[in-house]
Amino acid sequence: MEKIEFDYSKYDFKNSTAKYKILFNEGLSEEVVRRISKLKDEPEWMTDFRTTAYKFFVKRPVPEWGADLSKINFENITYFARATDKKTDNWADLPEDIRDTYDKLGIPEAEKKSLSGVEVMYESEVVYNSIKKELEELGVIFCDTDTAIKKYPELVKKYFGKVISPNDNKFAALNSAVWSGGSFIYVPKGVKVPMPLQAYFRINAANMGQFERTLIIADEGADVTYIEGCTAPVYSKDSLHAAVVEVIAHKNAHVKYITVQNWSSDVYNLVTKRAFAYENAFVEWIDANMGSKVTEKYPSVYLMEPGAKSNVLSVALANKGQHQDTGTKAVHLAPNTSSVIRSKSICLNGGRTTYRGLVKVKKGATDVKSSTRCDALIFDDISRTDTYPYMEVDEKESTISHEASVGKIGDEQLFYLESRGLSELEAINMIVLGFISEFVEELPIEFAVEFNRLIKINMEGAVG
Amino acid sequence: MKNETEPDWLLEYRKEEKDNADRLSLEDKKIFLKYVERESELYFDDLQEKNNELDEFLYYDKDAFKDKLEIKNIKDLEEKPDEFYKFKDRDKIEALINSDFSKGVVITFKDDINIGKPLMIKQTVKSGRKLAKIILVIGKNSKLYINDEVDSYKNAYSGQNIDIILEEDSELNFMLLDKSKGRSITNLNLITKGKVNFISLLINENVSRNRLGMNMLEHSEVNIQQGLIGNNESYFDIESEVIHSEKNTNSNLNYKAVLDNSSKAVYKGVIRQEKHASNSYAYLSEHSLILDKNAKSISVPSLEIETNELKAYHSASSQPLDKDVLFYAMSRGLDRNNAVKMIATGFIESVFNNIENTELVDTLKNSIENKMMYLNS
Amino acid sequence: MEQIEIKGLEVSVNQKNVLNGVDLLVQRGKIHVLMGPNGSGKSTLANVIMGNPKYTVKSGSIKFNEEDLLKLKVNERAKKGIFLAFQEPVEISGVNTMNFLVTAHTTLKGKDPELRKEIIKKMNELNLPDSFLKRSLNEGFSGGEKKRFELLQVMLLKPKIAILDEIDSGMDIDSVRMLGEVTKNLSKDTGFLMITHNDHILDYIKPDVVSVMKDGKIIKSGDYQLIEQIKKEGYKQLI
Repeated sequence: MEKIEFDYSKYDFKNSTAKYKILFNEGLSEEVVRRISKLKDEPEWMTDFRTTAYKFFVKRPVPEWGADLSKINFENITYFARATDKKTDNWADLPEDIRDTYDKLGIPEAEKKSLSGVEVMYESEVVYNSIKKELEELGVIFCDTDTAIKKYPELVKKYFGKVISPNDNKFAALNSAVWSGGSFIYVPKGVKVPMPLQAYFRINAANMGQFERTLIIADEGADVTYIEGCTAPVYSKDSLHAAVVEVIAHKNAHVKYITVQNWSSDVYNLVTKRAFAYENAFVEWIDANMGSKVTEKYPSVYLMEPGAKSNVLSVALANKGQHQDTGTKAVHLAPNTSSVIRSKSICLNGGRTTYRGLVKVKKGATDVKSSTRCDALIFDDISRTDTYPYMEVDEKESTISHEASVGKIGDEQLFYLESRGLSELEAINMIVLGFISEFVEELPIEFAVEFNRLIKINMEGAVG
Repeated sequence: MKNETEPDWLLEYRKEEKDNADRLSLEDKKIFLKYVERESELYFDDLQEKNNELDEFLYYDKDAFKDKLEIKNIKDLEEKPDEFYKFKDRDKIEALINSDFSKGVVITFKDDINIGKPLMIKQTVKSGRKLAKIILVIGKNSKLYINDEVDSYKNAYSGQNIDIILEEDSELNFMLLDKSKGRSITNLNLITKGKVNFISLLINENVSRNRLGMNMLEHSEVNIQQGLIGNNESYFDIESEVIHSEKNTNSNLNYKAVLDNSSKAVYKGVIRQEKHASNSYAYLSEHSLILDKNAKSISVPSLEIETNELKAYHSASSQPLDKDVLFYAMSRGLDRNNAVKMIATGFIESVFNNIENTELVDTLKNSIENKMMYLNS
Repeated sequence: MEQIEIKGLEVSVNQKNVLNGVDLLVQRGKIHVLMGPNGSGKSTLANVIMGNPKYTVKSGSIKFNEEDLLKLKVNERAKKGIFLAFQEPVEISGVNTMNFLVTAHTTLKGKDPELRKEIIKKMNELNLPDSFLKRSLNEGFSGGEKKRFELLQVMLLKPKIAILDEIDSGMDIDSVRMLGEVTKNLSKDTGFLMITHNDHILDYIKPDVVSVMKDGKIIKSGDYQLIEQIKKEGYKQLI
């Protein structure tokens, strides 16, 4: 078998926090929220948005219906840090330790491969931003959300917080109050972006909350694929990632949003992602969750107008000490809308996966089609996998189906592969990668290779 | 109903259950709380017990069951029976019924019996409320049929808690037929080492709440076939939980619902496979046929799996009437109502296939047919 | 000479004895045909040689060139040059067939830049459409195709000892003829333990050794003339 050498250190490193320019003391108050807004020199409406959201955050209790979140201490989290003063368009201009971090992550290679303009998020803000000329010529806006507020105030104001209100849930409220960074993308009418747009996120300082805010608008007939990749260094203290991603797909638009996450095992990853799909629009969430202590994430699509479609394909892998509580929502609000949901989950060494999904058909949404398929692999009797697919149907003219299976890797399959020379671990990896192959097929080739490596790393300890 | 002539242990038990009711929530699983509706109708304190004596509600062939069973009135027992310790309340309503039941019996069957004729439980409530607690203890190497028919009249309330213990190498065929026009609550808990075939047909016209808890011990097998037909304003809230506690257990759960007019069904099928349930198999399927745009269906077919030595599957669907099938039926001369009746009847009857006992099948078919007459009225 | 030597092998599955003291020799460069009625333990023997964990070896030994095979893991046995063509090859969803072949070949034989070409060429010889390479492993293959795919692996991996567990059942007449040719060609360098029910294949190859198994034991061994005897008299006469 071709041996792929892993550099494990690649996924487990950190730079000194000494070089952070501004690092707020831990803890949160309305005052801190105002200071963040002031530091960013934001317009008044955004300051108001933040402070209102902060009140919602304080009012809402920590949700109890899912994974255990009781250990999060909101006082122990740093809500804002800035790694360097200026943004740059040139890789070479980046401070050396940041460049070092991204060299380890392989970002320059991705750049060389000309995957796309790389939008890098280091801590709370985008520090490296090399949008290709090609995008500019097409009229595509791709920048960090802070910049967008300054450069395209009207556009941002029109859509910001409209898909996910600051009162949607506790963590969306928190994000709305203290958000920093994230990507802003606007694709004009009829424009098809020829390459996937890409961003990497990392949490680097200990106890550093990361609250990025991403907003993607695909105008009529536009087409865009966005890839976010996350890896995080290992820390002993709990850290929090509470992002908000809003996607608007106008008439006939297509948005494909790909996430591959590999948070370190101490991160609480509580993300709200939602898309509005208008007439005949097509929204896809391709979402992989690995690592973290707890992930609660349910990328949703609201099918607002006739003909809208959604496709959600997700992979969750929970190893020791991890709980992946993931799933999706498809809310059918209009006739002739359709949704496809596929979920693959793997748990081992005491890891826990939960699929929590909702398919809702509102009255008047006739001729709806929705299908869900959930498959789970469970490796041992200290792990656990649960499936809760909620189906709420208020309209008779709809066809909703759901299927799920849970099982382990077949002994005969392992024996077959081992009889062809593969070790037990190699055989397990091959079967697991086969199990999630539908997902891998959705990824661009370079990303697929990286993803396969991440899976293998996360399957560590699969052989007792 | 509390009664001064009751033994002390029972009065104490009623008090404990009252406390339990205060402590417990309406749902044993938090995640289902959001679906609770028509809550006030689940309680019974607005109604009075009309007859607190243990009137006749068990019917059986005296010859067939001669010397094969023993029936004891709970109120006549000097000590708290062991079976009371084996079951735990799952929710508030169950605890309330345990606290306030008026009829209570412990029925113990002998080992090695095989009786083809059913023992009938008839819970007919003409007015007010009736709350029953029934404990069934079935011995080893036996085969039994039990039919539980519930009928509460309009404005009446029926509540029953049934606890069953089934020993090894035994087979229990239990049928629940609920055609209440009033409110009806059934909580059935079962601990089994044998084989259980549980069949229920719910054709209630008002509020129906049904809780089924099957605790499966080693080498047991559970087959559940549940059908319901809802029309007008009928509301069904059903949770069927199958717990694979030990190894070599097989469960098979099939549910089908036909929902018309403004009826609504919330169905929660839960399969749990615990750590020690190795070499187990579970299958769960839920399918709903929706006939009217005002009908609502909510279903949550859940799997909770804690072992890898298993296979578990579920499938669920909700679908409208197939227009091609309807067209076909009508092209053969049926009017629309009769065509719908034929299709819906076929859909619901299919959940009851594989039932050996022809009397049972006839009872089910007749009940379905009678219920479906609403389409002609 | 390189050889697998089995002595006094007793094996059980689910606490039931299935092999009751098997002695057998399979030599590189020779064709050893193993026959016997259904349920006599032939398939069990094949699986035990390869190391299927389903079976428990209670006593006896399996040695390959004096090395104790029973101590080796399944993949280590494969690396020694032992190959099992499965009676019922398993399907594995999502595992790409080409990727599987390349991985297996690279593991056992090292890198070969010409491998992909070689695979396609051999598939053509075996009448397997190369569109199979894009499919999941063994998924959507007919019974006969699965068997030919097992044969393809014998041709690619060139094992020292190949155990063919009823590879000819489910094959059409042309495929059986092909199997005969392949076996004959490879047998200069490979030892075969061919388990079969069927005498068609024996029209194309001339086995060096024929053994008959019944009730978990080898009840008779001889040269190819034993086949003639079985054809005429059936197994019963051998007992």
